[in-house]
Amino acid sequence: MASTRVRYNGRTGEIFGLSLWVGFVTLVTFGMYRFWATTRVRRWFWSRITIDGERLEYSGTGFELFIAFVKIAIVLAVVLIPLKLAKNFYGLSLMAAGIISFVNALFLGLLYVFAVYYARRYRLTRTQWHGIRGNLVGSSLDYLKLNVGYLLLTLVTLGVAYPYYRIATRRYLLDHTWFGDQKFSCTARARSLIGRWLIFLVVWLAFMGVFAFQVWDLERAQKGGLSSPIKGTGAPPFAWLLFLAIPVLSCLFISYRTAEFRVLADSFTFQNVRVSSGLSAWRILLFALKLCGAAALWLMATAFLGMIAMKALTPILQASLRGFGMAAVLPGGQVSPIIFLVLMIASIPAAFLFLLGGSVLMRLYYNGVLRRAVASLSFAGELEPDRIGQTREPVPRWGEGLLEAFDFAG
Amino acid sequence: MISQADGARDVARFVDGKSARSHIVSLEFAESAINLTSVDGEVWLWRYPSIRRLPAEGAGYLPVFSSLDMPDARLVLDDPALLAAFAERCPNLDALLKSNWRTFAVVSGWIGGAILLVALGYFGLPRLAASFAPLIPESWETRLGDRAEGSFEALLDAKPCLSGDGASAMEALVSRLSNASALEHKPHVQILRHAMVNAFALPGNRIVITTGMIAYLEGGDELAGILAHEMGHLQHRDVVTLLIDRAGWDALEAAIFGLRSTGEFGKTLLSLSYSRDVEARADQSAIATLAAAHIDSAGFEHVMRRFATRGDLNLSYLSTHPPSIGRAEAIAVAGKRGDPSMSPDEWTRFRATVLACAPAPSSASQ
Repeated sequence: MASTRVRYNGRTGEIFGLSLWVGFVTLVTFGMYRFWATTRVRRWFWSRITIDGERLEYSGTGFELFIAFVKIAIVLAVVLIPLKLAKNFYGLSLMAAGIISFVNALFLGLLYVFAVYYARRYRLTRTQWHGIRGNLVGSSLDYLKLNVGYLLLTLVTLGVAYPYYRIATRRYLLDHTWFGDQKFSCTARARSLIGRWLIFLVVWLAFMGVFAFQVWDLERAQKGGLSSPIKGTGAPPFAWLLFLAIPVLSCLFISYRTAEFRVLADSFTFQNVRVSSGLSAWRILLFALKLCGAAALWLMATAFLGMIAMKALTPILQASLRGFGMAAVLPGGQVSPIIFLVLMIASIPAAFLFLLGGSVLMRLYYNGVLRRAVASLSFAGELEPDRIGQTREPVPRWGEGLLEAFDFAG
Repeated sequence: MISQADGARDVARFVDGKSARSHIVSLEFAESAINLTSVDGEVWLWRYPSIRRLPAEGAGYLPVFSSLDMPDARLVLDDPALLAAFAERCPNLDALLKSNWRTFAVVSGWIGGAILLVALGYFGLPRLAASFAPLIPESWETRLGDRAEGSFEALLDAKPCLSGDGASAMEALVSRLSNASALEHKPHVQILRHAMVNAFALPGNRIVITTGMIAYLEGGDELAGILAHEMGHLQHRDVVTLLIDRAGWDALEAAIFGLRSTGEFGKTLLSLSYSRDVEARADQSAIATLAAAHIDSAGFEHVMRRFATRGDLNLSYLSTHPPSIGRAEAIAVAGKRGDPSMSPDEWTRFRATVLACAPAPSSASQ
């Protein structure tokens, strides 16, 4: 029997060029272009996914995102500014400050959960295939309750129940996703993930324990005047721990996340199509390593460029100081303000490159993960487009607001 | 796709936006619209002006078209000849693409304009303040002054204090100075029970002097100098100008319409500080007033010299009226000799009356 084919054909060079360009325009316009940049990047990502040979289409616009951003900015201002003022006025009392901080965090937390829900709904309704829109047909309140409940459970179990929280929330979103008038189905269970998660948790706790012991040991040595075994080396004794902990924990976490992806994919059905995924943690890990290498190279290039700029600027600096008849260090021991000015101007290109590199790398990361995730999928059964009608649920008019600000890749 | 030989009829892939079902349609370019006819005989009509090409990102696309009349319907063309035929007939083919740039430009324009306006307001206001001050009606100023006085009383927990014998000596001095000054009306002078050494000009033709200041002064000529200086501020409407300038419109608005607690306004007034130029101008007016009233300016010069040389913490006067030896020198140069403002006997009685009313003895009175 023939099966549905899903392909991803996003080329690294293309997304590199596009994100470099939109990132440049965004920086030059002081961030104003961000909404339109996000839209263009999404349009690219969406259109590189084909289902049975037909491209996905992203039909959102930058203006929709902008309006939603303005709305959410107003809500934030209305709530956060009074809270901030209250903190200034009543902040002297520790109790009041605590309560205000709590209210603040609670508000932002609630907002974040709603933002995730509505952002997903917006993107789904702007995702079209054969002209048919996706949709998220659930209740944001139910989604909130689910989040609060499972987060409390995670808290009470000291993190052990985290996979249950993850799967429950993701399952809710997938299981309430519609394509046209047909519903997705997701029946994922977290049980099989517990093992992997516990390994991560135990190793994490072990590292934290060793780290805490080292700090305590160092403090004791300093207080008691005892000679620390590594005294004089300059590096704190726990530096090696970080070098070990970060890669080990990253590997374990990626391994957990890929398993989570497989569980979600394997329990997913739409019409007669069943999905399964053989995503390997190693492939994602190798890719992440490659990207880290690229990031390091970019950082080095940025630093190098900064140094060259400094070197080139030194004679200009000296000449301009001579021109103004000023010394680099003023009689009072103060450094001449011209030096600060020139240093500031010189650091702008480096900061620019740094920011640009960040957004480009983020999009390259999404591209690589998406390619590997889609390639790992296999499908059984065939889509029946003839049976899919247009969505009957309302389609939101404006964009997603808050979440767009955190989301670089689309 | 199969391109038919007659050129007027071609085929393309089509979805109607109601179902995901693909149709192969034949295209017929009529006079005002394209007729899309499916193999099962279904017909859709797309008016030329309603047809849009969907914006694409990157290469490798087949051009996709939609119509405003059927926003979810899609038509995919893969024949360059057909594409040219579309471009020729549809006037708004690339309107979506253009509108993306246009919305960005319009939004950026608005935001940039708003930022420019705020910046202009922020940097331009101090310059405008001086020209705005004369526009404030007198009734507003009077209300401002009422609020300011009340606000000081609330803020400093001080009560007005002027009565009996001392009062008449002071009133006589104020009248003499006011007649000699450029002020239209005699200012209302209030003595406030507070150990702080300070004197203010307030909007609405008012002057406030603390009992601490009276205790600090060494004679009637010094008092005359201080009063003449504050009258100089009144004459130039310096307080209102300063309020607009430093505290901005919100402080003014709060002072006029009472949106804030009274204490707040007092705090704002206390935080204001005159610039060197404004002080010099008030000093010049004071010298002129003293000369016109035939009062010796030596006392004014003397008290200024004392302010400038003594770093006494209790001298709050210094924070609102930045002092300097230079100011004393300027008074010495421009000042005129004259008569005493009041007899030593009058001064002693006036000071005794005020001090009887004053709070616990302050360090400044030594």
